[in-house]
Amino acid sequence: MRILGIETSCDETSAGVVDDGRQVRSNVVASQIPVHRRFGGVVPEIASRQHVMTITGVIRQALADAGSSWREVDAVAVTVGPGLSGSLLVGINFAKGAALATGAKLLAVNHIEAHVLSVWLSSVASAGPAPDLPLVALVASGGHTELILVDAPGEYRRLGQTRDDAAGEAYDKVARLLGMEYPGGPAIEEAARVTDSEGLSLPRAWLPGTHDFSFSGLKTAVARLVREGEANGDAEPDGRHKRLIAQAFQQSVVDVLCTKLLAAVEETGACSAAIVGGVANNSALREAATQRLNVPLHLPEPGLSSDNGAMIAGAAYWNPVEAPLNVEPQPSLQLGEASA
Amino acid sequence: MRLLAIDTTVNYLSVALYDETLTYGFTRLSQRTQSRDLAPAVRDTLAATGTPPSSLEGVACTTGPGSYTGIRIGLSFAKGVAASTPCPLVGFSTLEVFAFGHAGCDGTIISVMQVSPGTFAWAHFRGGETWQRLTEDSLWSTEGLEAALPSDALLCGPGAQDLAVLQPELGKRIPPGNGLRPAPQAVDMLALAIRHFEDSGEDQLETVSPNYLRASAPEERFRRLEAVP
Repeated sequence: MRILGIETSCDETSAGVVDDGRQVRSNVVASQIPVHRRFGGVVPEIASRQHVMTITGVIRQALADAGSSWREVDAVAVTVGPGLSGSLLVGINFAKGAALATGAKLLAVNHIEAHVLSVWLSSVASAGPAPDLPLVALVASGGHTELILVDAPGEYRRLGQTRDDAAGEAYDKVARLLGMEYPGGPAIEEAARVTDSEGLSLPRAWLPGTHDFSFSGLKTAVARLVREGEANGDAEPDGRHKRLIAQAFQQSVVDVLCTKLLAAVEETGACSAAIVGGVANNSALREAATQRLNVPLHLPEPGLSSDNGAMIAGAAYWNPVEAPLNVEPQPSLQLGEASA
Repeated sequence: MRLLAIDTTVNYLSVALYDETLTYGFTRLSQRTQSRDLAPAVRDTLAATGTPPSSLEGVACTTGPGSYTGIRIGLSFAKGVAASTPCPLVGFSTLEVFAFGHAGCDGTIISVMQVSPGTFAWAHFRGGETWQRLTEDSLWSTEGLEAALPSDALLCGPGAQDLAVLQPELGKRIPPGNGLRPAPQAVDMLALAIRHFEDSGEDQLETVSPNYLRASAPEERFRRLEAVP
């Protein structure tokens, strides 16, 4: 079964073609990062305006890269939530038009579920076996930080989530405090590569007895250190003080994410773990989790961590939810809630 | 030629289909429900006229001005249909479709829409034997608008009545049928689309863009901040 997946829930216009829920034939992502950079974050109206301009080209390219015609597409899958309403509208209405015109099925996909199931995807035809279940997935991105227990595709239990900022959001905000560029993830990861360390340590919010996260206190602590550094005359964006702060911030985030993932795996007796979402691109997190976990760790293949259309196509195969033509954006859709 | 025309740029939903033997279309109120209503309405229109979607030979869609969200709903859907059928797409200004409803009137026809209190989008057209656009869509404030109006010009579009409330003497310039067309009629767009495809046949799938006429609010704020010396 060939599925075309369309993703426009935030600031990436993306489409991908996936066969039988495993093999990624194409995955095209048009990022809007340069457009939003001067605003320091995603501006919803501008994101919507970009989506409607880029969507046709992205989808044409995804089909061309896959060597596929529209006639060979069995289903059109689209993110219906969670996400920005105006952005979701573009993908959903394009998908409706295409499904209606071609007679392909229209499948509604939950964006978080698509991230969770992104580790089922492979760019090669002879993909290895699917992850062993149950699996605990850490979904960490600019909009989400959650721990999900996956009993089977379509059967999820949310173990915990962030109570304030998402992990990626914390990276963006701290990058801004440190005078670094949006998005914060790559900027901080780069700055944090300092060889020496002065034992600068930032707090970790453990929230004992829960699988929840909190990053707002960490952000405040960074703000205080930045102010102190500026008072001491260390205001250069590339200054050593700020690099040390970036390092300590990243250590704190990585430590909390890994420890919580480990605890969730142990408590549930899960057979495997996964880290998905944009923050899964962070190599410090990947390395720490690989070292500390004693079950197999699944990471999305390159290009499948950040928002992308292929993961939407994959999720629609493993948990197909046929949508009526009147399906609407669901900006606050929860995992496990009916998407159509 | 089999053509589909859709409009969701104002608080209405308008769908029309043309296939040389018949013209079918409707317009109904659809406040904040266009994303829900559009696709089923098109499906029902195709079914009612016995038109297989794969047989469409062109899609026409309004591009604004109007509601930003409405503009994107229609355009995204139209792009989805045109890209996958595949068939060419053509976009028309919402103001032109409004004005074209009065194309039979000789002389200058001005299509107006109030886009925010005191600000109007407008464009001038010439009706009569050959339909002609005289000016591009642009924004005007109420101030100075009357002086800029040619004295014999007709006023149409959803903003015509708003203008007449502000300046009652302008009410005399509004043709009687205007009130019957509170939304652009997809049926009127069909005529424009037929002309387009018969003349140049240009496919605008990759080039058509929303006709917002205004930058987004955050961009406006940014521009004002940058303008401060």
